[in-house]
Formats: sequence, structure tokens, C-alpha cells
Amino acid sequence: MKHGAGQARLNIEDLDLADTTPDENILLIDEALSCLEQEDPEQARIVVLKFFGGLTNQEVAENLGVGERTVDRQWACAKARLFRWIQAQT
Amino acid sequence: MSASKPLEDAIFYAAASISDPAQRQQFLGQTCAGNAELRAVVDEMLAAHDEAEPFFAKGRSALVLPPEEIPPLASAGKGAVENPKIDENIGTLVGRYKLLQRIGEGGCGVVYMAEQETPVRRRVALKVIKLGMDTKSVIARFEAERQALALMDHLNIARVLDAGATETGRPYFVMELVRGVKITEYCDQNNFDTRQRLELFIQVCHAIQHAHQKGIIHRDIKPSNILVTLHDGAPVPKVIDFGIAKAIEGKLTDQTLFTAYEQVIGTPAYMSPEQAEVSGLDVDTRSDIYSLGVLLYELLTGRPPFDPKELARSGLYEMRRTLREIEPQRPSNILTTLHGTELNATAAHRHAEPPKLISLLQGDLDWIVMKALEKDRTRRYETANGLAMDVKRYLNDEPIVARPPSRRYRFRKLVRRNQVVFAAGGIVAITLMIGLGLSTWMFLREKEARHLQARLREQAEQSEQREAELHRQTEAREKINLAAIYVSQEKFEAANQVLEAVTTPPPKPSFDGVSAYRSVGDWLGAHERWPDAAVRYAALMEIDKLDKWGAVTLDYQAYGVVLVESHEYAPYQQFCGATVDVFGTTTNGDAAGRILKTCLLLPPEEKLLARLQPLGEQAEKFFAFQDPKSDTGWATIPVGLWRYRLGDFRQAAEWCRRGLNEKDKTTAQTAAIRLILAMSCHRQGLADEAGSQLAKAREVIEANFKYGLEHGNAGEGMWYDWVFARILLREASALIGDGSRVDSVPKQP
Repeated sequence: MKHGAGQARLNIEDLDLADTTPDENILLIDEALSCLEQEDPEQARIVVLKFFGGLTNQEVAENLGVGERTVDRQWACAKARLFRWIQAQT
Repeated sequence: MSASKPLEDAIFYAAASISDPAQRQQFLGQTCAGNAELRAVVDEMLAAHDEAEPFFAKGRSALVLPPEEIPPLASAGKGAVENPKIDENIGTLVGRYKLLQRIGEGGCGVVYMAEQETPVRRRVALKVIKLGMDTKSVIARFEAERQALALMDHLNIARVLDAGATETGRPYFVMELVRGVKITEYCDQNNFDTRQRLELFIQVCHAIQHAHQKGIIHRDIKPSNILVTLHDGAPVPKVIDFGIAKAIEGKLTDQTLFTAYEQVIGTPAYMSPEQAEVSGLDVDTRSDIYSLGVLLYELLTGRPPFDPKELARSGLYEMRRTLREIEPQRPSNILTTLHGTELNATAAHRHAEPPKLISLLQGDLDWIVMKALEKDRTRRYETANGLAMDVKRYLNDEPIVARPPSRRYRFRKLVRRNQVVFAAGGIVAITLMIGLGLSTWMFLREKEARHLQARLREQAEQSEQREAELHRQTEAREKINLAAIYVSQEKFEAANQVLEAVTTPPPKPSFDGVSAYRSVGDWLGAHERWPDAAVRYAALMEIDKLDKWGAVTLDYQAYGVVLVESHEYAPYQQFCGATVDVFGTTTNGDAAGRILKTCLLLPPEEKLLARLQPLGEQAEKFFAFQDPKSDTGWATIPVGLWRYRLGDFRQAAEWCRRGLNEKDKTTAQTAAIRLILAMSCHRQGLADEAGSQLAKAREVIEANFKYGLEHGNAGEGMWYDWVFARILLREASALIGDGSRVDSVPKQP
């Protein structure tokens, strides 16, 4: 299946994870994020700030009033979980 | 969150930091001992951990500038200006321009006055951009616009003449030299009143319009880009820096925004919401309109709608959110929030008294500004000229185009948080998760985006429908209350008219409202306007459904009578059935009695009679229990009538005779009792008694109706008691009357 602009729908099952475009990655991450949000809103929030907002650990920590190590841990866990979800879908 | 998640996370994180595989296995073995599920999850997470990184990095790359384009934090910042190697020295040649004097700091660069030698000799302004951007692409982008820029020829526009690169590789732009002061400063220095400021503003709009017509969007309209010079003593605003913003435009990230604090991109306070977006949406002429709106706002109130310091301080994320979501205060409003000295100063600069200034801004000026500042760019002024014309209309006391938002629009503001924004090529939907207050960028394809839009529109419509329904109900309630007032004034006809207009009675009308229905129904009944009365009582029934006891059963009684008198037999039957449904199991003696009366007014069907059995027994028990000499005369009718309908004539007669001896019954009720007695006697063959009772009853009833039915009073009998009696009279007359035979008892038609 061809990827890229002009595609009408993103069929997750058809995707080869190694082959995705950056845009598709963002899509997948976002979908996975909706699930994570249900499970752990705090962690989801960190994903948004770090990934979409591009903030550094320090900035996130300041923003949320937590320690940097916490941010680092949450971010690592979130990434692993999100990717795990994405892998499971494709 | 599942209970095990924190544990899973903790173990995963700890394990991930153990580099030695053997040790890691041991660690996992210990911590997950006996919990196979936990181990499985952590294992999966660890496996995902390594592969996740490149995946996320790839995604991130689509969101930010490539690393080369991000100026390294170390070299940027205050250092960039002071560093002598980077800064151009006075007297040096930059291209064919000789730098004469440093005039000031522009938005993203330093501005010098320079002298051009060839092909003409003139003084120009030369602006060196100090951002660490890719000079080649900056120049290239500028070149693309150069043609269009050259076509611009307007009094209020400072021409951009040339562009190039310095020896040190920095891009520079050459512009018409404008000796002037920032427009806001100029107005304050000269204490320009509102009218004068507006007139200057109109000129600025004309300039922007001219540029738009040439296909040039300024993109960076703000006070420091509008200088006021004097031509023959008259102030002339000149817009500078056209085309530069686009040339140096890059995507906004934290780095570019905060590299040189406020200086870099200029105050975000003037940026339109779509400009601030991360996706670098195609900005169009309406972004300039927004910025014009901000300018107008500042000219009128002395400050932009969002505090620049606050915006810059809060970080990129918050800034975008503010611009996108927060509705600024109206100009007149914001003045009221100022403290005394600030307000006085602001007003003084506008040559006005504070209260006068506020009232001047209220109304039309407020709306003009707010229309230009709409988040939704389709709702702004279409053109700079449109904006200018509205301002002109205001100055001429003509009606303006900007209108306060309609109700429909206010609803859409509620769903503003789920706004879909279309970008060229792909579709970007920006949805806000309301509960978490987060924003996610979802890249949807066209179809899905349109679907979402349709759903949102539908939602808005439904909300509107619900509101309309509430509105209808409120109207109905008001009408009913009005009817109640008429009733209290004894204007029954008027009350009746009002109630006629209420097609659906609202749930839970006021007590007065219910009484109004009842009173009007009564009045109509008393005047024998049966069809109308039926309608009123039907409405009352609807309302009564909510309230089982008390006056309600009286209503039922009245309604039953009304239905019969209007010859609505089928509805009457239905009504009887429904009444038993509701009250069949009552233990209230009063209620039981009234139900019986209501349902037995005409000879009942067998099924109904059977259903009334428990009620009858109830009423009888109640009646029998009473002291014969006590005040329960009124209770005779239900039991007497019931026994009669059952065919138990002897018992019926006995009850009736007893009832006649008792006190506390109205004249109408006495008549009714006589009639039941008459019929019971007749059925037992006691013709004489039957005849005499009938005659007595007839006399009384006819006399009453001869003089017209009033509402009646407690002593004589309520109108429905009289009508009740009359109905029975018909039955009795038909039965006994001219001595007709027993077997022609009229059944229910």
C-alpha cells in the first residue's frame, strides 16, 4: 500500500511500521494517545507537552510542578506504552 | 488507571536503566516473581523501549524545524547584538550602501541609515537581520516577492528597495527611509483624540489594502512597523517592512521565540491565531486584518488585547492557546479594569475624560474592533477597506456593518474548542480535550474532517432546538400565569383566550397556573360551553398527571361531567379507563368516592364495573362506618350509585334514604340522591316513591337551570354537581318518566 499525501484513509492494519512517513507516525501516536489518556491522563499530558509541544524535561517539570526525574520516567513509560499499542495494531 | 500500571511503570523504568542483561533478568525475576502477567507487560515495554525512540523522532521531525535551521542557543541572545564580529560597523560598506548611523532596533534586526551611491544617490534605511537563519533561503524568498514589492506605490507604504547579504553572511534589506515615530507614540505625544486616531488608522488600512491588491501580505503589522511622518505639517502614517516577515519566516518553536526574548519575532501580541499555529498554516490577507484590529485596539485603549509580557512569558504552548481560545475584553470593558492613574493617563492621551472615553468606545467602536479580532477569520472583515469603511461610517455617524454576535454564533463559540482548521494540501484538525485542557494535533484526511464539522454543526443545532423548546415552555408558562391573573380579576373570557393560545401545557406550571386552568374550565362549564371546557380540562388532566391527590380528583369529576355533556362518549369511556388506571388502588375515601361518581355517571360497561369493585367496597366501608347522623351526606352518591349500577337496588335505596336524612350535602347533591333513589325504587317496582322523588328532584334542578348556572357555591352546589344531577335526571326521566317500562333502561350508547 502506498503512503503519502492524497490517501483517503489511513488503514492502520496495512501499515508497515518501518515504512511510515513522519505524518503517519504522528497520526499513530495521536491515536495511541487517546487510549493512554483514558488510562493515565497525567502521562498523556506529558506526551503532549514533550512531543507536540517540544518542551524540554525541565520546562515540562516547571510547567507541571513535578521533578525532572518524574518527567523522564513518565516520558519513557509513555513512549514504551504508546509504541506497544501501535505495534499491536499493525 | 489500572491498579497495576504504576507498578508496571516503576519496574519497567528501573529495569531499563540496568544495562547488563543478566542483571536485568535477575531484577525482573525478583520483582515480578509469581506474577506472570506483570512480567509480560514489562517485557513488552522493554522491547518497545528501544524501537520507540526512532519512531517518535521521525514523527517529531514533521513538527519542528530541521536541526540546521535552529540557531544554537549559545550564540544567539544578547550576544548576537554586542558581538563586534557579527555587527556591522559604521562607515563600512554593505553592498553598495554606506552605513551612516544606527537608527534603532527593528523587530528582528538592527536598522541603520545608509547612503546609496549608485544608480541614484539617496538616503535609505538598511535593516540587517540578526537571526541565525539560512541566509540563502531568506534572500531567495525575498527575491520571490521582489517583483510584487516593486509594484507597490502608495503614499502610506515605505518601499522596500533591495536585499542582499553582508560579508558575514547576514541578510539585509534596504528600504525607503522614513523619519518618523511609532504611530502609538505619535498619537500619545500629541494627545490625539479618538477621532484623530481613527483618521490615521484609516490611512493605514488603505495602505494595507493597496498591498493586498498587489498580492502582498504584510504579516507583521504592529506599531513599530507604522511610522508617522509629517508632510507639510500633516501627519502621514507609513507602513514599513513589507515583505520582510515572509522572507524570514520560519516555523515557531521555543528556540526561535525565546532566543532573544521579545525581540526575535516581535511581540506575539499582534499575531493572529492562525499565524501562531505550529503547522505554519497558509496565512492570508485576513491575518493582516487581525493585526489591524490589534492596532486599532491599542490606539483606542493604550494597550493591545493580550498583554505582551504575559504572552511571551507563558511559553509557546500557552501563547498559542491564548490566541486561539481566549476572547479578549472589549475595548470599553478593559478601560473599566484600569486603575485610576492608568485610566486617567490613557484618557488624557486621548484628550478625553475617563467616563466619556469609555462611553465613546462602547457600542460601535467595540464591535468594529471585535469583528476585526475574530478568532474565526471568516468572520473578520474581508478586506482592509471594509474595516476602513466601517470606521469611516462610525465617524460619520452612519450605521456600521459589524454586529454583535447572534445567538447561533454564541452557540458555535461553545463548540469553538473543537474547531477544524483547513490547511493547504492536508487537513489539520485541532481538537481540545476539554477535561484535560490538552491540545492534540490530529492529522485527519479530508473526509473525516468534514464529517467532524457536520457533527459539530448538528450538535449546535440540537442545542438550539433544545433551547427553542425551553423557550416555548417558558412562553407557555407565562401565558398561563397571565390567565391566572385574569381569573383573579374575574376576566374569564380573557383568560380563556389566553389559554387557547397555549397548545402544549408545559411540565410543572405554577400553582396559580393550574388553578387558572381549573377556574377557566369551571367558568366554561358553568356557561355550558362544553367543547371549550373539554379542551381546558384535557390540558388540566395533563398537568394533573403529575400530582395524584387532592383537588385533582375534583378535576376528574368535573372533566367526566364535561365529556358527557359534550356528547364525547368515546373519550369519556377512555377517560374512565384511564382514571381507574391512575386511582384504582386509592385508599383515600374521598378520592374513591369521586372516581366512582365520575365513572358511573353513565351506565358502565361490565369490565369497568368490575374494575371499580375495590373502589366501591372502599367507599362503602367508609360510608357504613360513619355515624348515620353525621356529616357525610355527600358520600351517599358514590355508594348509592354504585349499588344501583351493580343492580343491587334494595341496598342502593337504603343508602339513599339514609343519605337524605343526613346533613352536609348540597342542594344539587340532594337532587342527585333523590334521582338514584327514584331509579332504585322504580326497579323494585315501588312506583309511587319513585315518582315523587323524581318529581322533587326535577323541580329543583329545573329551577336552578332556569336562572342560569353560576359557578355555584358550596351551599347550593358546584356547577358540576348540578350538571351531574341533570345528567342523572335525563336518565331517570327516560327510565321512569311517563311510566315507561323497566326494560327500556338506556345503556351507554
